Amino acid sequence: MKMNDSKMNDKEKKLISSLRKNGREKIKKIAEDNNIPVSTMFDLLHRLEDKGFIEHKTHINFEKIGYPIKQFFAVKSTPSTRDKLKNFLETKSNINNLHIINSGFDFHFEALFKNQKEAQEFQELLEERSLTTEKNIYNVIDTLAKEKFMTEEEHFD
Amino acid sequence: MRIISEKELWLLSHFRQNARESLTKISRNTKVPVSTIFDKLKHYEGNLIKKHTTILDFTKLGFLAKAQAMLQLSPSQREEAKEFLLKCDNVNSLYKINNGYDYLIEFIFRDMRELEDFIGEFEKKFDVRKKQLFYIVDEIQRENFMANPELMKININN
Repeated sequence: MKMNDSKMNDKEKKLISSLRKNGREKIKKIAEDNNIPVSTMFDLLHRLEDKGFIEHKTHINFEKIGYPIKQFFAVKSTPSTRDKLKNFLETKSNINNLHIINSGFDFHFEALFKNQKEAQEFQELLEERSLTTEKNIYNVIDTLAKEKFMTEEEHFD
Repeated sequence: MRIISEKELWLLSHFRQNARESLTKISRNTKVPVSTIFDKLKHYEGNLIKKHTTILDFTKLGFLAKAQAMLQLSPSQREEAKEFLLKCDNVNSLYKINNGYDYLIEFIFRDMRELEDFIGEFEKKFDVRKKQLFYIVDEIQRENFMANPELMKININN
């Protein structure tokens, strides 16, 4: 399966958009709703999973389970500490998303904390270990939309 | 305030790891009866659980330009810009933030030209006072928080 060179076909669009809306939707229902054989839909799902195109995740309201503080960080390091910083961030269990970026910074990540003290301690740890030369922190006040691209078939065009 | 126990968080972590995991398999791993897991899942859906979804490797699907933009807008246009962004197909996620910016937006486009054209058009339509754009070069972790049941099991046992 190679999609980089061409647009996805209708079956792929229907499966992906359905699962984007509800990741636990039954494949039988998606197939029946779209008049596609169930076996074809299962084959397609397994191919997409096996190739690493898709993963299924449950989004939780972290605030309700005791993590009310969500922060985005943009951090910069030096060439000599970049790998060390990456390794540090990869081992921190409170980091939800981690990206390598450009535009003057090295990493952009989303972290969750139980309280302000824990958030402060995390920042201090970054400073103590001299892992960053610059860091910008943004508190999330509200999540207005999350993972909405490709929830509709027209998004694929 | 947390409203569920460590053991229930452990249960939720199975869905964080794989939202399509069968309840039978989770039951085998956790030794919690399937009927209990079913009841808890139904209870959590629409409450603790916001959504089960499928996350995509956009690059493999042919969408090569991914960026996170932080924007500060004219106060009079904040709401209008928010509504506009919520309707844009290529906005994957949108957050209201602080520290000098109003919104953090994750964009997905087929290529850099499409992304830059969009930003250019957006700036013509709205009074963007401050902008910071990060192009995502590589994704190291995605939806990783509480997505490792094995690790959470160790925490419970300790």
